[in-house]
Amino acid sequence: MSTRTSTAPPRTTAAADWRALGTSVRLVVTDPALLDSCNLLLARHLAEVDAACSRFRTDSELAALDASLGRPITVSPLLAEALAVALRAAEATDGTVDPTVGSAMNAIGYDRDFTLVQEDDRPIRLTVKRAPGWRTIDLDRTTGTVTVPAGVRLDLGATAKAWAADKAAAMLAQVAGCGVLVSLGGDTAVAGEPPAGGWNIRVQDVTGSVDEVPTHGTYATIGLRSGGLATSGTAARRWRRGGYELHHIVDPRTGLPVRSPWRTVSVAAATSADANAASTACLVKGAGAERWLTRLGLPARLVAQDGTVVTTPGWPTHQATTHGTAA
Amino acid sequence: MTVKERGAATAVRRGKRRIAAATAAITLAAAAGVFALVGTMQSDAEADTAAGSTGTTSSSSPSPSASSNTSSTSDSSTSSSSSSSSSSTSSSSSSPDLQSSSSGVTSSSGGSTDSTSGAS
Repeated sequence: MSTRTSTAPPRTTAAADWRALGTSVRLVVTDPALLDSCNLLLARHLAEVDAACSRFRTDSELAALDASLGRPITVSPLLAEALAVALRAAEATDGTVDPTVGSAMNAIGYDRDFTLVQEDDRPIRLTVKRAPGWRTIDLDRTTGTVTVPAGVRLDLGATAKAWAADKAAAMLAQVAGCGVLVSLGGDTAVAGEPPAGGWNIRVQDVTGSVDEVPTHGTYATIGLRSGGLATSGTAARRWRRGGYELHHIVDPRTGLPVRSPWRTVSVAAATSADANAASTACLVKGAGAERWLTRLGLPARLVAQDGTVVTTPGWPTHQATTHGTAA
Repeated sequence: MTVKERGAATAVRRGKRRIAAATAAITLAAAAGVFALVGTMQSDAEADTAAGSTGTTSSSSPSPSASSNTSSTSDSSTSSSSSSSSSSTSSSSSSPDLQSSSSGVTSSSGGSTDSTSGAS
């Protein structure tokens, strides 16, 4: 874990970077004195999320659902909430972001922590198989029970990180009484009073250090005062297996990595969870996704495979579009 | 037991049978209604799914509420809806529509970058 304090009056923030949930974690607060306390609370929160939602831990609640064989299972309020967010994302995106792609993920070799996936050389066989569909999941929030049909494997990877960032940012801002930014692998949520001028967030193909300007692809820095921002793309979390070039964004209609005209999609919304659902859905929806975003009133920046940048109304447009530089 | 008492007992038994028959009829009717309702909901749901997944994916895929036309593709889907219980299928309490932020996004104010957002 590393911390850094930047003081450029009147803007004072402190940040911590570390890793959890198989991805990067960045916490920024506007009161540097509260950074360590907030970071501890964030670590505890993410540990709880991991214990509830991890697809790779045999002792997680999610893993227990795999063994439920279609019986109703009472789950923790945390997992129930995560499932509700995933099902809502599926409904809001016409099923393009579907939590029942767990088996498809396993089939393409993403059945363990990603660092291990890259080292795995077991052969795989790619077959088109539609995901069971989010409507097969029965979640009753009043009783806290969930029924997953036998054989259906859930993957909350598309929504859980963004939702966890939303919860963490809101909780920390309330407890600490300062501005808070939580980024989990680029799924960003902000809460509380932002720093002067808002939070500066650089959107780029792959999440990275704030100190390292991307040398490839385009990027843009925007200001965010509330809500969330998320970026989905196929440039990260890629691996090769049996001659196939694979990535982790699966099309629920085929069970295979999506072939999208978009390389990277960034969306701002009321929450990081909504932003993430929209950005991931765009990759699956493909051509015309920008019109879908426009209808929803979501500011977004879409980068085509050839680097062309398209923005929707509400996204700052004064920046130039150039490869390798700010765009 | 007198003849009169036997007659009364027979009448009671007859009454019980009638009540039982009526109860069964009502139960069946209610069940049929529930199945009809579930069937309707499911066909709507499948129409939604089908509309969202037809060949050309997306581009014109309307917002969730607008995509329920007719089609009657029968697919897999619902597992537990036929298992009698009246449990709620979905859950999400809030609106199914994705919400935009009240403050939106702005141009960067300059200065240091607080965070980056990209694929991970």
